[in-house]
Amino acid sequence: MASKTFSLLLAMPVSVLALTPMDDAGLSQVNGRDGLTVNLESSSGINAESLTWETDEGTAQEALTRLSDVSLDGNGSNLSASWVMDVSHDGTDPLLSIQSQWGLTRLIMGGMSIETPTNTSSSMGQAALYSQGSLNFINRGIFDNDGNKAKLAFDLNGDWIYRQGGPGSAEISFGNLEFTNRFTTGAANSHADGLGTIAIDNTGIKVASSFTESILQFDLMYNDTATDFDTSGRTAMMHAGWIGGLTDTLVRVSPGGVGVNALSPKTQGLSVLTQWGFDSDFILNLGHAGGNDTQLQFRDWRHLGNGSGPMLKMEMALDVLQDGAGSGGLCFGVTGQTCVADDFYDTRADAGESAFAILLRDSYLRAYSESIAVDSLANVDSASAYDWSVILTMGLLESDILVYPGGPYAEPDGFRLDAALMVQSPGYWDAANSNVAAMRDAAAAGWETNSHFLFADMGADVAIGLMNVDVLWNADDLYLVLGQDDPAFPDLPSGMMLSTDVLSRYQVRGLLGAGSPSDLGSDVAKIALWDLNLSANQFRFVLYPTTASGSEALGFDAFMNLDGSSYLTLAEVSSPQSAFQLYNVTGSLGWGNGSITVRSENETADNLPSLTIANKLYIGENADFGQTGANHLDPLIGSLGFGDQNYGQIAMPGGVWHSEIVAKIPQ
Amino acid sequence: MRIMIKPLYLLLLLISGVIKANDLSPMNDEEMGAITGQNAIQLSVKLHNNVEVQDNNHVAGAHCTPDASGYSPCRLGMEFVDKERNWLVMKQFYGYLNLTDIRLEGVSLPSSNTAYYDPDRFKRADGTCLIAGTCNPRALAAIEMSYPSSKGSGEYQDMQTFLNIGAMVVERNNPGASYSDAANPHRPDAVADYGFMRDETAGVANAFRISDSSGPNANMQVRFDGSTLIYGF
Repeated sequence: MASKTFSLLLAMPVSVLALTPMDDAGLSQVNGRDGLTVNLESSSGINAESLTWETDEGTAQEALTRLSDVSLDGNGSNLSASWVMDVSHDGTDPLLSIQSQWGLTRLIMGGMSIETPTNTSSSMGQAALYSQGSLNFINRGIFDNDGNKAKLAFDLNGDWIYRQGGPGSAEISFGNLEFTNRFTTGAANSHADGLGTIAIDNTGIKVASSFTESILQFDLMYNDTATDFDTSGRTAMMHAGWIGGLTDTLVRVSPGGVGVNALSPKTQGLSVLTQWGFDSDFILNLGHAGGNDTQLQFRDWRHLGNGSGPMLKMEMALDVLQDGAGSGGLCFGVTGQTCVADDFYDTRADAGESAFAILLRDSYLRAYSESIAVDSLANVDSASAYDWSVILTMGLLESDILVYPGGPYAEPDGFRLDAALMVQSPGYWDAANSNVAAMRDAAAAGWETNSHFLFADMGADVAIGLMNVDVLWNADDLYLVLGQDDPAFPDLPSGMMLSTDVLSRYQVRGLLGAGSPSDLGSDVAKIALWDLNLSANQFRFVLYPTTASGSEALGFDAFMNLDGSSYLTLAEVSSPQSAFQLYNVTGSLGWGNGSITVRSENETADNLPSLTIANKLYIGENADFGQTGANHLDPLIGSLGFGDQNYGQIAMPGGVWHSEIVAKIPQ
Repeated sequence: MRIMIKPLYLLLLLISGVIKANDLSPMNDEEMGAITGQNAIQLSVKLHNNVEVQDNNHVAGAHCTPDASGYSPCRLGMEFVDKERNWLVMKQFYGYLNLTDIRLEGVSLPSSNTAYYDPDRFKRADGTCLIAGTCNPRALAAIEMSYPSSKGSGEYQDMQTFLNIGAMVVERNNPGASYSDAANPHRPDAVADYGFMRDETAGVANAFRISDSSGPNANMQVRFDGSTLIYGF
C-alpha cells in the first residue's frame, strides 16, 4: 500500500450508554463533530498487486479468480474521501449512521484471469471506473433484519471503461454514467425519504424496500484512438437508462454457485437474486446520445394480464466451471426440467479449460409499458406521450453462459463465450403443434406468464406481432473483439465485434397474429405458427459509431454463413402439419452500412415520430467483406415445400440489396 | 391464414397506360362490413435489389455486369421436384420496391354473416370445422392493412416498383459434377457446377420487365384504395 495520510478525529467517546434519544430529523443533522470522522487524502493512491476469490477449494473444480494490478487514485489529484460515522437513538432503537463522500477517483483493474491447479488463463481485459459520489446510510447496526429500520441513499457519477490490452487499445465505455438508489415512500408520495431493510439472514445479505427511487443511465461510447482510459475523444453510439421508482425491491446475495453437471447441491460460488416492480413514474429510455439526443421513453409500466408479484425477477449464479463440467443443461421451450435431445442444450466448459459461469434460472420480465414518448432537444419536456407501445415480455428467461478469458488474435486479452440463452413460453409450442385439437385450443392458457413481442395500440387494446414466443441464442466460441481488424474479413469495420467460426444460432418461434394485450388468451387473430431458425457456422456482428441524417447513430455490419439447418416455416394454426417451409438453407448473408435512428415528432416532415432501420443486404458471393476463405462464394440456396411435399429449390448466387424500414406511430 | 379484401380499388400506372381497377367485384366476404377498433402501426419499406437508385431512372449495380464468360450473380434460380439438376434461371435480375405508409390495424370481423357465407370453406377434408365448433369466422380478430396516405387526385405513391428479368433460361448442373451430400442429393459438391451458376444455354426463353414509360428504368406507380383484412384460425 502506497503512502497515505489518515486523519482521525474523535470528537466524542463512542458509548451507547451515553446516548440520548434522537429522532430521524436530528440524526440527519449529524456532522463531523458528533461522531467518528475519517478523512483520506493520498497523493499516490492505493495499489494492490492482486485480489483473489477462491472457489471449491480441495475439489476438482477448485479455481482462483484473480483481479491483478488493482489501483485506486485521484486521477491526477489527491485521492480524497471522507466517512462520518455516528451512533444515536430514535426513541426505540439505537442507530448507526454512516455518511461517505468521495471526490473524483479512478479505480483500475489491470487484469482478470482464472487460475486452476492445471492451468492459468489469459486476462479478460482491463477496466477503469472513474467516479465521484456519496453514500448515506442509517440502520440499527450495519445489518438488521427486524423490520424496516434502514435509510439508504447512494449516488455515483462517472465513466466505466473497458479495453482488451494495454494503453493505446481501443476502448468502449459506459460514459456519463449515473447510478443512484434511495429508499423512498414511492412515486405517489413524491419519493420522500423512506425506510427499508439491510440485513444478513440465514440465506445471506438482504437489501429490501417497499419503494426505491433508482437511476441507471449511460451513453455507450467507443474510442479506437484511445491512449489510456480516455474520457475525451470518444464517440457516443447510443443512450440507455432507467429512471424512476421501483416497488417491493429485493436484492439478495447468497453463498453457493452451481453444482457439477447439476444445479444442486451447489458448490462454492455466488447467487444473486434481484426482483422488483415498476412504480408509476418509471421510464426506460433508449435512443441517441448525440445530435438532438432523441430518445424513446417507455412509460407507464404494468403487469402482463392479471399478474401479480415482481414484474422483473433475475436469479443469477456466478461460479467457475472447468474441464468438461456443466450446469446440467437447459430445456428449450418445454415445461419442466426433462426434455428430448432436440430441446436439450448442455453447455459445458471445454476440456482442459476453465470459464466463468453466469447462470440464469427462473427469471422473467412479465410487464410492459403502456405509452411511448419520443423526447429530444427539439421538444424538451413537451414530448407527446402516445398510447402506443412495444410489448416485449419474457415469461421465462434462462441461460448458461460460460466466459473464457483470452482473445482470438495476437492480442491475448479478451474473452469468448459458450452460451445458451432462452426466452420462453414453456409448453406453448408443443401444445400448439399437438395432434389433439383441444390441446391446440388451450395452448395459450398460460399467456400471462409467457413471452410476447408485439407492437401495440394501448388505447384500442390491440397488438400485432408474435405471441407466446420462444427465442433461443446458442453460441460456441463466440469472441468479443474490440477495435481489432478481423483477418478473415479485412473489409469489415472494426468496433465492438462478436465473432465465431463455430456456431451462432438464433431461433424465434411463436404465434404470428394480433390480439388484445389485456387478454392474449382469447379473441386472437391467429395468422400462422412462425418458426425461424438461423444457424451460422461463421458469424460476425460489428457495432460502431456512425452518422445518419446528420447525427450520431448506432452503426452495424454483419455476416452469417448459414450451415444448412436454417429454415423458416409458417403453419396453419388449426392444422400445424400444413406448413409452408423454406428449409435446408445454406449460403452467405451480409449486412453493411446499417444504422438505427429515432426521430421525434418535431424532427419529421409529417410530424410523426419514427424509427428507421437501414442497411445493405449482401447475398452469396457479394457477402464478401474481403474474404478469401472457403465459404465466401457460398450462394444462398434453400428447399421449398408445403407439408410433407417438396417443391424444389430456390437459389441466388449473389446480390446487393438495400433496405430501409421506417416505423411510425400514426395519429 | 386467409386474406380478405374489402372494397379495394387498385390503380396501376403501367408503362404509358393506366389500368384502373375500381370496378373490381367485391370478394365474397366483402359484406362483412364495418370493422371495429382504431389502432395502427405504420410502416414504410424501401428495397432495392441489385440497382443503384437514381431518382426515377435506376441502373443495375456494378456487380451485375457480366464477366468475360458472361456470368453475373444478379440472378435467381429455381429447381423443381422431379426436374432436379435443371434450373430455371432468371438472369439480369434487379428491381426496386417502395411501399409507402402501410398501415396495420387490429380489428374484429363483423359479428354477423352475409349471404356469401359458406361454411364448407372452413372445414377440413373430413368435414370437421377448422374454427373451433362453428365453421364460422365471424367476429374473429383480424389485421387490417391499408394505405391511408397519398390519396389526392392523381397521386400514385402507395407502391413504386421496377423489376427487370433480362433472360429466363434453363441451365443444367454440370454433367460432370459430383454429389456427396446424402441429405441433399441434388446439390453438387462444387458451387460452380450448379445450373444457376452456368451460362451454357444459348438463347432466351422469356424476359420480363415492369417499368414506366417516363424513363428507361422508371418506377411503376400504384395506388391502393380500400383495405385488406388478414385473419387466421
